[in-house]
Amino acid sequence: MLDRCLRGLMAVVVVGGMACAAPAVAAQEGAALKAKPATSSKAVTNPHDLNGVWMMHPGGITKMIPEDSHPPMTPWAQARFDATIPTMGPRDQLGKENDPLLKCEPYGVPKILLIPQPFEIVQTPKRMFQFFEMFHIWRTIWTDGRPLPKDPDPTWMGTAVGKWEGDTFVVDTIGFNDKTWVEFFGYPHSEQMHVTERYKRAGPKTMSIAVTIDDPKSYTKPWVNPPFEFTLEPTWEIQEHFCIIDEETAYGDKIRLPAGGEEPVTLPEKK
Amino acid sequence: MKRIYLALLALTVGLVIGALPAAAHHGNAAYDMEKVVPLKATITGFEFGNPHVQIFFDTKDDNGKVVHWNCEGTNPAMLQRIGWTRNTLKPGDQVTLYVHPNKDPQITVGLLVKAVLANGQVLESKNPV
Repeated sequence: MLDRCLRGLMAVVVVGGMACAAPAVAAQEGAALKAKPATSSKAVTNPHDLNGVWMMHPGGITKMIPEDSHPPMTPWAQARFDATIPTMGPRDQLGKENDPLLKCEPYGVPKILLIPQPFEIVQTPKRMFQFFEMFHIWRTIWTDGRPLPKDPDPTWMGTAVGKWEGDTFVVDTIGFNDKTWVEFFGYPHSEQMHVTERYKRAGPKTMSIAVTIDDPKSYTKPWVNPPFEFTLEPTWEIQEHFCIIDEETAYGDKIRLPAGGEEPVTLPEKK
Repeated sequence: MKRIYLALLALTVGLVIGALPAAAHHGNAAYDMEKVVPLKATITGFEFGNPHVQIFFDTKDDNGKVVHWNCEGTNPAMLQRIGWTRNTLKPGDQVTLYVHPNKDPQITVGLLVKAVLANGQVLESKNPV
């Protein structure tokens, strides 16, 4: 708990947001149970109801503008950064990109949140599920009061726990591998990365997520981002969007590589 | 090819689409997002698949010479929300495709903005928010 409070205090200092005002985890379960379905109610929104299909507002994919917001990198991170060739941004090299998504690797957190494709939140008493349409990725955020594990084995999506701090749902995630990029411009992270997400209902059909990245092996201080805005899409259902490497390769050969003036990897079937 | 480019310039609409780029997660750096060109297209192939929908078509330059083009849109999951299906286009269809052209005028690979079908139906290619 002390550890959580210290983290919370750091968030206050950095974000100027709420600290660990300490609503008990047990209260979260009650809140989740009481959560009413998100409706089109104009006036009343249950602030603890995050259920539904959410879509990033336009332009979200570049909201984490590194030049404006990221803290200085360590030499370890700088070397990794220098090796990345993103699909967008000032360091793009057409046809030579090496974003891990081109190998169908999972996006990780927070990059998966930046995709202009919807994800669904399902709250249950002891955990929250997030189902991302992109790549058919899903994630559990435990809300049963368990602490973060001490030294988890690294995974693509990490190990996440969540709790309510007033009307803000705070998610702490650790235990990532270091294969994913933080976002789309190629900024790296290490296995030490600790991501804090702060979810808040901004209105009947809106939600914001503020992301802070604490990764001392990569950045000299926490990387704090302004909240990203999401819109509730009550008529949408999450569709199937797997990443299939043969489809990715075929797309690269027919569109991505020729669009960048590069030769295809394999001979395309269509001219 | 230069003549094609000149023809495209002549057709260029100074339209800036204030929506999400259609091929967002693979980037749009290859395309001139400030321009939209309409192309009278005869469809030669249509792949309603991931990671991005792909349209293959023939169009004519200002001399009537047939030129082959490819263009991409966003993905099926997003497009089905705004009216597209796998049967929207088939080889031989005569349609008008509005595309962001390549920044390199020698490259006939574009980014789809919208399609106007033979029956007049307009189908956008962008994320519907």
